[in-house]
Amino acid sequence: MSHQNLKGWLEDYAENSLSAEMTQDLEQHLAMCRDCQEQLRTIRLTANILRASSLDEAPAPAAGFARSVFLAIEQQRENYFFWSPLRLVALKAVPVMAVLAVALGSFAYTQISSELNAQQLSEEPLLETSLELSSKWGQEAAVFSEQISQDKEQVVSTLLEAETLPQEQGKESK
Amino acid sequence: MTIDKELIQRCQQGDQAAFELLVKKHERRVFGLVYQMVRQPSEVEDIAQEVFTKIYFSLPQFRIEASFEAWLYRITINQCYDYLRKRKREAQVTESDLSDEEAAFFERFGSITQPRHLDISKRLELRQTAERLLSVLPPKDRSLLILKEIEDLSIEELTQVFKSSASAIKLRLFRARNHLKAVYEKSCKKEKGKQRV
Repeated sequence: MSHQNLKGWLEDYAENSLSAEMTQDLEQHLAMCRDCQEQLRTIRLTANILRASSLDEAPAPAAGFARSVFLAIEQQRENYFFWSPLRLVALKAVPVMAVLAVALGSFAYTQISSELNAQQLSEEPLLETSLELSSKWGQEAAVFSEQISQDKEQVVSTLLEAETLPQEQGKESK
Repeated sequence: MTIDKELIQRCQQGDQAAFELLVKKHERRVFGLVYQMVRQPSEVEDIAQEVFTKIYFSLPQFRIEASFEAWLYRITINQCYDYLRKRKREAQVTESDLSDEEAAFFERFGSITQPRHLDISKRLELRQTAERLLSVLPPKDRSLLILKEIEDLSIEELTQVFKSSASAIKLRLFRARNHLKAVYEKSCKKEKGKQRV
């Protein structure tokens, strides 16, 4: 028998409800287990504190206590029987409301998830379009930069021409 | 059929005299438990009255094969919880401490020293110390220990009152007892610390 199982018997041991055989097993274990000895000490100590707290007598019921209960019942009867049917309805309504809440929750969940799926599907063509556009813009940009480089070459050649032309004219005049 | 069951059946048929007998049969037990839980003598009668009023209105739904005593204890404890919740009195931390004599008494009480051998002032002192230690526990732990040690309910009976399994009750008892022992040991250490100073 394991230590944990035997420890679980301590409450029954303290209330003398173990069989003779179990008591013998537990006592053998107690003789060598400090943890169980300490727990048994705790059970006895706390029982003593509880018993000490009840060393005084509780107030005794007055001779007419039962009558005063009937008076209280009469005062509450009208109130109780007014609210009682409503209380019953409320009690019956609780499981119905719970079922409705679960049904509404699952409906909302399916709706939201289907909307999300639809949104994902509609987002895919957009992505394709944007990719197409970006490649188109890339091509246009390449053409544009090519034109600019060609233009640049033209400008450079024009400037060079402009520089060389006066020199040639000067030579001719000499 | 037990007397309780016979009385309950008569009550369920509208016999008010049977209910009066039922109240008279159990009033002391309810007063005792309420007093142990709330420790306010002036409040005991009002709470007990509420308990019996609830029982009266709930008797039509009571199943005759169930344990009346467990049901009575459950209603009484719940009524005490309601009262304690309304009062919202915080647990008092034990400022005054245990003397060696008191500690020795708690360690041996029941085996060596019998309470009837104590004089009135000593009984009062011990009771107040025990109450102070218990006041630190949450009401749920206190009610469990009171039913176990003062009302002498077995584990089996506690399972009916708290609607729990025997292993769950044993676990709750284990925790409640260790909590109380920790409070007790803290009080002992304080006293020893003071003596050293």
